[in-house]
Parts: sequence; C-alpha cells; structure tokens
Amino acid sequence: MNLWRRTRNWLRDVLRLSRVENEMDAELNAHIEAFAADLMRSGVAPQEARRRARIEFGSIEQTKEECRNARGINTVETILQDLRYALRLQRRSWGFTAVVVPTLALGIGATTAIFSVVKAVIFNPLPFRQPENLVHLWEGHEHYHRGDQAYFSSARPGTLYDWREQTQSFEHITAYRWRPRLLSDNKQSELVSAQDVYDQFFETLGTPALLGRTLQAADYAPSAPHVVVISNQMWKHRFGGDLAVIGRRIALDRESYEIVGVMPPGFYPAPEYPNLWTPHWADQGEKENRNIWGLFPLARLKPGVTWQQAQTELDVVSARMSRDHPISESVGGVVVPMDAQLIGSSWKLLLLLAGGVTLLLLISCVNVANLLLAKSVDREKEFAIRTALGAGRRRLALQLFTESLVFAVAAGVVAIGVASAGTRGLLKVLPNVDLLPRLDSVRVDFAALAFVCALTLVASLIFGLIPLLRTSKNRPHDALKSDGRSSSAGTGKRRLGQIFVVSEFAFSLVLLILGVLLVQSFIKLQRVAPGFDANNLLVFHIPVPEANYGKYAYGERDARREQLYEHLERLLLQVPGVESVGFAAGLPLKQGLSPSPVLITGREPPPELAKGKDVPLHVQASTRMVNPRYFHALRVKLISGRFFEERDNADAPQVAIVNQAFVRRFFPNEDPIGKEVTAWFAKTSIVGVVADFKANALDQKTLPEIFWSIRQWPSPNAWIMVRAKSDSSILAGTLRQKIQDFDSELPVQEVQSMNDVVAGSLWLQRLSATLIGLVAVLALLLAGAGIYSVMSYSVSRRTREVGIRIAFGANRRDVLRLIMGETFRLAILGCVLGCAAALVVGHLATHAVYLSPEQASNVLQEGLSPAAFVICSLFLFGIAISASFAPARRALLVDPVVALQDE
Amino acid sequence: MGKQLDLLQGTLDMLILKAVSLGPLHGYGVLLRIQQISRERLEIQQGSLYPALYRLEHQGWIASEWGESENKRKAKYYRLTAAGKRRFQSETEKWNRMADVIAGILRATPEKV
Repeated sequence: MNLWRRTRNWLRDVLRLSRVENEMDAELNAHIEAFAADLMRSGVAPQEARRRARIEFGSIEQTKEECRNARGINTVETILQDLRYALRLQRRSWGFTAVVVPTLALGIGATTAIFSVVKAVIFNPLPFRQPENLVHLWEGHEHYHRGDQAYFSSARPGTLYDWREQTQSFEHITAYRWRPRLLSDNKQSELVSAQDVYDQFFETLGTPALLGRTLQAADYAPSAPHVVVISNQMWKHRFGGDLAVIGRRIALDRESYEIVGVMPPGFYPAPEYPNLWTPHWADQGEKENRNIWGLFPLARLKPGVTWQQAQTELDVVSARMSRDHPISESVGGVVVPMDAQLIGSSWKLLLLLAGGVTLLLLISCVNVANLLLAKSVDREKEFAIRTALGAGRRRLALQLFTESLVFAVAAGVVAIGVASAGTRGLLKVLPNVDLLPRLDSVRVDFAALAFVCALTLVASLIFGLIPLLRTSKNRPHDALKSDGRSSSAGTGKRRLGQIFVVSEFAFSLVLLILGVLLVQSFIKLQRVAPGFDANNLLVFHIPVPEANYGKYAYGERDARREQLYEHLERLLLQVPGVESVGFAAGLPLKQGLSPSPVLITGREPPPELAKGKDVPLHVQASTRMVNPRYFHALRVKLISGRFFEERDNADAPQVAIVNQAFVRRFFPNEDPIGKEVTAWFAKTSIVGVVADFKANALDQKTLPEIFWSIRQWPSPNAWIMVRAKSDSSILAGTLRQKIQDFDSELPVQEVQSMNDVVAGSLWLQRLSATLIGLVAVLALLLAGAGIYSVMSYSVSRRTREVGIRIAFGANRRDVLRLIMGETFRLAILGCVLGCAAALVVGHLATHAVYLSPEQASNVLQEGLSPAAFVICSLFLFGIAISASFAPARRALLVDPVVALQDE
Repeated sequence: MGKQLDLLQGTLDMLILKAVSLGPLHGYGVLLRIQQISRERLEIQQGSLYPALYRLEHQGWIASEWGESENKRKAKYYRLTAAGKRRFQSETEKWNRMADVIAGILRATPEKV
C-alpha cells in the first residue's frame, strides 16, 4: 500500500516535472515572503526584511535540490536535464561532434563487421546436435593438434568397420563417400555432387529433416527400395520449394529414386555442398576391403569423452590392426574435431583481421579520449563554478556520463550503417573457397555490435570523467583562480595527452608496418615464376559420371576411363589453334595431392615407417597421374631420361617421372633413372627427371613429386590443360562444344585461364594484404588526425608561456627548440615502441598468413627490413612535426604582449 | 530562556509530524509552531525544513494541498494522514522508550552496576 502510494507519487511527480518545480518555487517564495512580513511587523524596513529573510533561509537552490532528492524525482529530472544540455553542447560544438561521432562509428563499425564474420565462421556452433561431440576420422600418421594443418588420408571400408568393432569412445561411427551422380529428368542430365552415406550417418549428425524424413536403418539393406534425401538448395532451385516433393521420383545414374526427405538450409556447412544423400549398403566383401580408399568417416563421441581420449584409444586400436593385417600397411587413425576440420586454417586470417580492427578501434577511442581531454581543459572552469555553487561530485559525474552516453549512442547508430556496409563489403571480397566455410550464414551480428559499443562506452566514460577528477582534486577556488593565468596546461593532463600521442604512434605504426609487410610480400609473390608457362593455357575440370564410365577404384584397371581420356585427348588436339593437351589428376597451384612415404627398392624403409611412427614430411613425396603431353603442355623442361610415351600403357611396366626436388632428396649423388620407388603402395621405375615447378603454392619450395602415367593409373576425374598457339580464351567455346558433342553428359567445369589459377592461388595473401592495407590506411588517417590535433592543441596552449619567455628575452630559436623538443621526444618514443610491437606482431601475422614457416621467415627477412620501419616511422614523424611546427611558429610570431593577454 | 539547542539528528521529522497533527499548516507555519511549542529553545535551519516536508509527503505520512494563508496569499498546507498518525504514535512510543533507557543509563550510579 505504502509502496504503491510512494510509487504513484513519484510517477506523478516525474510526469509533471515542470509543475512540481513551479510549486516548489511558489512554496519557498511564500515562506520567505511570510518571514519577511513577520520581520516587517517587528519594525524592520521592507527591503532589509526581505534581505534578512533570504539570508536566514540559506541557499534556495540547495534547498530545492534537496527537496528534489527527497522526492526521488531528482535522478530522472537530472538525466533529462543533462541530456538536453549534452544535446545543446553537441549542437553548439558541432565541429567536435562531427569529428568524434564518425571516428567512433568507423572504429565500432569496422570492428563489428570483422567480428560478425569471425563469429559466424569460427565461433557460432555448427548446425548439428551437440556439435562439440562430432569428429572427423582420418587414416594417417600425423598427430593432430587443434588448428594444425596436417596431411591425412581418406579411409578404407575395412578400417571403418574395424574402428566400429574395436573402439569404445564413439557413440556412432559412420562415413560418406563423394559420388557425383547423373541427375536426369525429361529434358537434360546434370552431374550433381552427392554423398553416398553409410548407415547411422544422420543419427551421427543429429539433424532432423525439414520435410519428410532422413535415412533409416531399413534403407540400408541390399533389397531396400532406392531412396534419396535432398539438400535445401536443390529443393529450392530444382523443385521450386514444392512441399509435395516428398514421394516424387528422380533418376540418378539412370535409376529411379524416391525422394524421402529435404534437409534444412545450412545443413552440412561444407564448402562443397552435397546436393543429395543416398544410402550405401556395404556387403561382407566391402567390410573387409582394405584397398579401396575414399571414405570420409564421421563419428560422434560418447558424452564425456574428449577427442584426445578418443585419439589415444584409436592409437591403441590402430597398433592392433596393423598387427592383424600386416599386408595392408595400415597407417593408423587421426581424430579431428568437426569445427576445426570445417574451419581449417581460415581462423588465422580472421584472427589477424580481428587484431587489426581492434587496434583501429583502440586508435579511434584514443582519438576521442584526446578530444575529450582537450575539451576538459576548457571545461575546468565550468566545473569549478558548478562545484562552488554546490553541485556534488555525483551530480557532475552523472552529467559527464550523460554527455559520453550521447556520443556513444550517436556513434553506435552511425556504426550500424558502417557495420552492415562493411559486412557486405567483406562478403564480397572474401572468396567462398574451401578455406572459409559458413560465409552464407554471416549477418551483422548485433551481439558483436552491442559488445563493441559497450567497450567504446566504457572507454569514453573513463576518459569522459577525467575533467571531474581534475576538478575535485583542485579545490574549486584553485581552478577558478588559476583560470586565465596558467602558463600552460596542468602537468597531469599534459602527461595524459602525451601518453595518448605515444600510444597512437605505436598502434598505427604496428598496423602500418604490418600493411606494408603484407602488401610488399604479396607483390613479391606475384612476381614469383611458377616454373611453367601459364600464358595461353586454358584449363578445365571434367568429373567423370560413374553411370557412364563405371565406378572408380584406386589401383584397379579401368579400361573405360583410359579410353575416355585418350579419346578426349585426340579430340581436343584436332581443334585448330590447339598446340598441346595435358591431362592430370589435380591442377598445379589448385589441387595438391597428399604426400605418401617413399620406399626405394634396395634401401631400408625410413626407420619411422618401420616402427609405425609418424613419417616426417621430408621423406615423403606427392604423386600425380599425368598424360604423356602434360609436361609439353605446361612447358616444363626435361632434365634427363625421357617423358612418358604412348607405349607406357596398362600392359607395359609401370614407370614414373620425378622432379629435381625428388632427386635432391632421395638420390643426391646417384642417377635416379632406372631406380624403383614405391609410393601409395605402387611400385614404379623412374624413367625421367623434369625441372621443378610450383605445384602446391607459389610461396612454398617445390616438394618432391612423382608423376605416373595416366595410361597406367587412371584418375577418377581429370583436369585438362589446353596449350593454345595464341590467345587461349577464344578456344573455350569450341572445346566445350567438342566435348558436349562427344558425350553430352560429360560436364565441363571451372573453365579458366591458367593465369587466373595462379592469381587465384594467392587469394589469401591478396586478401590479407588488401584488408590489412585498408585497415592500416584507416588507422593512419585516424591516428594522423589525432596526433595532429593533440600536438597542435598542446603547442597552442603554450602561447602564453612562449610570450613570457620571449618577454624575458629568450632567443626565439631556443624557444622553438624547447617546444619542438617535446614533440621529438614523444615521436621518438612512439616510434620505438611501435617498431618493437610491429616486430612481434609481424612475426605472428606472417606465420598466420603464410602457412609455410620457411616462406614466413623469408618474408620476415625481406619485409621486416629496417627500410620499412624507417619509412613508416618517418611518415608518422612528419605528421607530428608538422602538427606542432605550425602552431609553434605562430606562437613565436605573436607579440609577447598579445600572447600574455591570450586566453 | 537559555541558549538555543541544535536539533538532534532524526528528530525533525517527529517534530513536523507533531506540529501538523495539531492542524493543517504551511511550511512557515510548521516552523513557527515548532518554535512556539519549544518555547524558542530549538534552532531549526529554515532550509532543512522543506526537504524534510517533501520527504514525509513522499513517504505518505503527510499530505498537502494548496490553500489561502492568513494574509490572503496562496500557500501549501500540510496535514497528517492516517498512516502518518500511526507512524507518529509509534515514533512517539519509540522515542519515549529510548528516552527512558538513555535516562536510566545516565542515572546509573557505581553501586548499581
């Protein structure tokens, strides 16, 4: 009851603030009048009576303030009052607002944009049930550490079923196999990416279907009717989002399948999104097969089991499996958490960017703090007066708080625009390659925006309260007295300003040097010769439909594919303008192959391999199947021996060509020709050595490579490289038509020039150089503006001091030296700190962006050269000097008398 | 009439309640009445009277309305509410008990302890 009445009173008062104020005025006036009237009655003269009444009463304003407090209306009213005042201040000093708000908005917006992407790609949970329990399993040796890039292999069915039987750590183990399917309707056929999934696939992921159902145990039976689950994308694009799609039949590889389910959007956030899932039933023979690779096992950990524990168990099981199946050369199992697998190494770039924008945000905060600080000098008097009139510290703090809030809110509103534009821009420049999954789920993250805004608010609050600190430290009359007479700004404030200048120097220098480093090394990488001739080379990809050319199995003879490749080669060579045609599994700088340990006949195997341990990369080599014209098409030189010839076919002895890196590694002092080497369980004899060329990445040293003849080892699909006599781009249409005429169901994908492939392989470096460069330029602008404003302000504050010195006969040059000396000291300190920080950050960043440590150290040696540091430092130095020189000169030129009257 | 006494902390509220319990009063009237009852022995800061009045009104012990003063001026009159009356009684009892206790303590002699 009582509480209700109180609240009601309070609400009434709050709602009628002006009336309450008027009544209070009237009441207090009435009191004084009555008192004065009493005094008059006792014979005091009217004027004197009123004066005495007022004095006896005490401070009316203070009484009113206490009355407001007593009714609890004070806070609300104060805030409204402060808000009005703050808005008025903002309007009055619009120049200040025009600097502060965009500065903050830029910092907040850019940071939010980057953090939105980082959050969507890295931190948002995967769209599965309890995604933290999901892991990928690989066959491989390297022990995995979260965030590492290591080489693993797909698995074999035999291993998968052994794992299922012998491990305890997993609730489910399942697997999928990529299997492009020929989807045909009445009009046309289309090869779509699809996954053949083993039983428990959907149970493992734990995502229910959007429409219909997922696959069930009954679907995995030899005689079960053909069913298929389709992706949301396919449902939308091919079936127009038709709700009646369940139960419809589609033809896959010319067989009829019933659609039983549609998955929700964003299910399976892999970069290469499968369009459909079909159940795969393994018979007893397949369950024991240890030769067919290409399975991608997925598993769900039992609750409470960590992936490290599962790895330990898998190690034990693998050792036992190696003992049981000595011929299969089992290589053990690797557990990789699902999120780490999907995110890959993109987190490094994103974290680098996040660090960059955080620095940018810091710079903009420091800028605003600087401006607030400069303003606080002017407001010291205001606060002193208010303190003298009886305003309490809390009252003043509240006012400053409101003022900061107004700025932060205004900046936050503008920042929403900056953030959404920035996020959209980022999505445009970020390539949707396999290194950055889940980009489709990126939105402006309001949690991130709120967080960054809150951070900024806290920062601006801290800085906003500085004037208060100063005012209450000096008793008010000191501030009032000193006003207009101070020879310069107070030491404490100047020290703070100096810290700001130094930190802006350091922050922006770090970003600037980082930007220069990345841009410089990117430019350098662009000039790296790939070792082959990328001009006039047109490339495209041909996935071979299993429906027409049979199932592919590694290591098995495959007459239809062999014939297909030979036929296509002849066909394309007939096209006018074509000089040569290369076929290969994988494309240089685009698709590498996993390296395999190399065994050389007549030599002991690497001791690590014999002991079943990790085989270091340097005793491995990657393998690639190529056609006889491959090296000719790429214009790679033969060093010794011979190229592949047409006679190196399936009936001839198996041969290999190696590169110079291979020779250097394995046959440093021998002639490799005629030697027998085994990789990926295939024994071949070396017939030729070719010159090194960049196969994996421009920034990496060429690894040892073995080439096999595609006539002897058919590849499941082919990259075709067409060397044109002149401009290759005009050939694209003709070539596509030729292939379509030959087999209209053979897809021709990713047609592009080899030059584009080379440029595309540098996307990470280009992207990091562009983005960090952009951030660095922004940082430079902000910091430059900040340093300039602080320096020129602090120097102009010393006009009076200069006047005094000159009046006492100081040499103008000495005074100039005195003032510029401070600038020099700050600039040098900032440069030293910034360079030191840049050195550390540069090391970290280079390792983040350039994945190979060897290249990173190269870049560091060249990029982090003293020249880059000196140039960047000088640049900022120049800004600081010019910022203080102009006002210093002005101060010197002013007549001392005028200078003394200044302020 | 000796020297004027400063008001004990926290007693102003009680005095105001007492003053308005005898009939509605405006602020200045409250002041005069307290001085009158105390026979001018208490010194009340005029400025401190109004915050106390506002606080008591906010708490609901007293209510106010505008009326006309003796000299035909508009004035705000305060009167005791029912809740205020109860409050005043309990406060008075508390005060008396407290005064007894304190007086007893001050009267204590060494033999009694």
